Amino acid sequence: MDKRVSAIRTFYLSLFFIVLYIPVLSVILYSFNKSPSTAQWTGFTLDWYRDLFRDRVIVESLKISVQVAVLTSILSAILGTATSIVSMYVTRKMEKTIRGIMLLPLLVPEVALGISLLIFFTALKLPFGILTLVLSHSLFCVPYVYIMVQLRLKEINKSIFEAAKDLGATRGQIIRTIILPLVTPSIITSSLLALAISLDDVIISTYMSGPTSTTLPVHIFSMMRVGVTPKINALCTLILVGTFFIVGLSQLFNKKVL
Amino acid sequence: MSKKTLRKTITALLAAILIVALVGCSGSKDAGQVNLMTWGGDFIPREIIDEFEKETGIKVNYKEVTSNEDMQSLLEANPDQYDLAVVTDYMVDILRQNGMLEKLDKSKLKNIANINPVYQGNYYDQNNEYSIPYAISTSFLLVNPEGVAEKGAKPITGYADMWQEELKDSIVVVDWSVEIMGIALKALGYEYNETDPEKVAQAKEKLFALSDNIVRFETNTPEDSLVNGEAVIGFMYSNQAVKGQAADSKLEPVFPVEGMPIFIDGFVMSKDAPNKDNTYKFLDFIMRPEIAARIAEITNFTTPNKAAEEFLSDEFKNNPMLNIPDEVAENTSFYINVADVLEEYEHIYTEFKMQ
Repeated sequence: MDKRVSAIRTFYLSLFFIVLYIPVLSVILYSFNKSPSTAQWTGFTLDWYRDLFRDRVIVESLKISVQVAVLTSILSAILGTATSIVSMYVTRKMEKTIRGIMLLPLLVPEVALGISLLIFFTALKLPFGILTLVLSHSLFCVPYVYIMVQLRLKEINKSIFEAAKDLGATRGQIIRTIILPLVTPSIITSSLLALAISLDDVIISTYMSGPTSTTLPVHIFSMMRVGVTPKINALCTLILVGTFFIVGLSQLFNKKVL
Repeated sequence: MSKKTLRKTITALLAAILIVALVGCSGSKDAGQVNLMTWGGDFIPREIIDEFEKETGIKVNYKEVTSNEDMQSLLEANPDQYDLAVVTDYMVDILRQNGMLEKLDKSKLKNIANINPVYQGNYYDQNNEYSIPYAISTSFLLVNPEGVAEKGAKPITGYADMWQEELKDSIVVVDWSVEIMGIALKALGYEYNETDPEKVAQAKEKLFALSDNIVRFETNTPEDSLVNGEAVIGFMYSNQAVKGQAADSKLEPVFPVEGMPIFIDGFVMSKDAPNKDNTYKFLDFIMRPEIAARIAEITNFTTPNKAAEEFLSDEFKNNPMLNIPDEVAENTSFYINVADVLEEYEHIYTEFKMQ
């Protein structure tokens, strides 16, 4: 009986992963296909990769995407960590309110968020570009940092703080010497997550980028009208490799904590 | 939190925001530029833009957008940030009615005479005051004549032939309610986007009868189904059909006798365009016959530029899918008032697909 259960479990899991990853594998496969059509396999080539690196627009938009993602992850790491530490020192009710406000951006549909930000930044007369991209991306990246740091904070044994206080530590010292070192792995993991989320975003980036700052995902989506070339398969393959790298890195940091 | 740390945190935050802001503000405001917004990829080829920049010294900022509706929101929120947009026919109509567009000064566009009158004076801009057609695409049938004959069906000349019993499981169509309802309406001899409930009901019945013949709904690469032999007839956009024929030369386009849908993407200028003079220079450059011909060759869209014909390669010129004969072009129609029918059509279409 036990054996059968475990066989079913293995079968189910492998089916699950096959269904999940076969489309991904096909992208990788077709990025090496000679024919531009996905209907036939006509031989192995690296031409699409060469085309990819020669494409000035892709390289430029990739630069902007990376710039925005890095700044976003730094800004949301600072804001998210600060908020979750602050919420340790406020009343229960206040903490609940803060949590509600923090999670709100994740629940609002992206289109609504994008359009309201567009109107808001226009009213502020902010120039649309990297600044608006970073601010808007941070809006939905901060909650992730907040949640992950908060989870870590909940795990810390409260008696450590009491002991520190007994020994005369100020709040600032407690935060600096106890809290921050303990949550650092969570901060790093969550800012890597923020990096990946920012790199992915299309809808908000469409509204937030100015005339000179198109991000890579927006560039890819906007190509639909003209038709997508196999260059994009090559690009997706590279993005996949990059994403796996980031995810792997964050897993590594997470393991060290546990 | 102690006051000191609070102050420190706030300073750190402000510093971070400031740094970000400084990086963001680095975009300069030169006199010589044009802010263009449209579909991405090579919709307006970069090599053409490079050439314009080199010739005039005017920089073209190309903002890529994924839908007409996005362009509308962006333009309406910041009309003074964009000079030029390329939008599809119905969006020209909407933007014009909302008062977002500048009336074009034809005296600054000496190449405007090159534009084929067949593609002008349409419902969205009857007096050609606000828009200049740039790229034209259509949708029609791509057919594998041998495949059709093997199945024992008679040759395909129009939509009506798609209902033949012999064609069970052999048609691929793009996956959009308005277009698929359009096929049924046209087969009955009606117009696209009919609102008359009785005609719509007839079309619904007609459409349901087509269900057995459709093997696949596919919007991105319908041509692949014909290339790999899954289907023998495909209803798809012209650029997809061109790709399909390039992959398999026995596939042939059929322009349905009932007529076909057409999409015209055209330039429009924002009424608050900050660089109007440069914009006119850019538009005039794009309308040069040899430039228009090169754009058409790169993008695989039909050019509305009549004078460009002599600069087109033979391959392009002799391909009726790309260089649409004027008499075929006249037998086309737009999808108008989509918003009025969309809900009803989507409803019918969902029911149809669930069969």
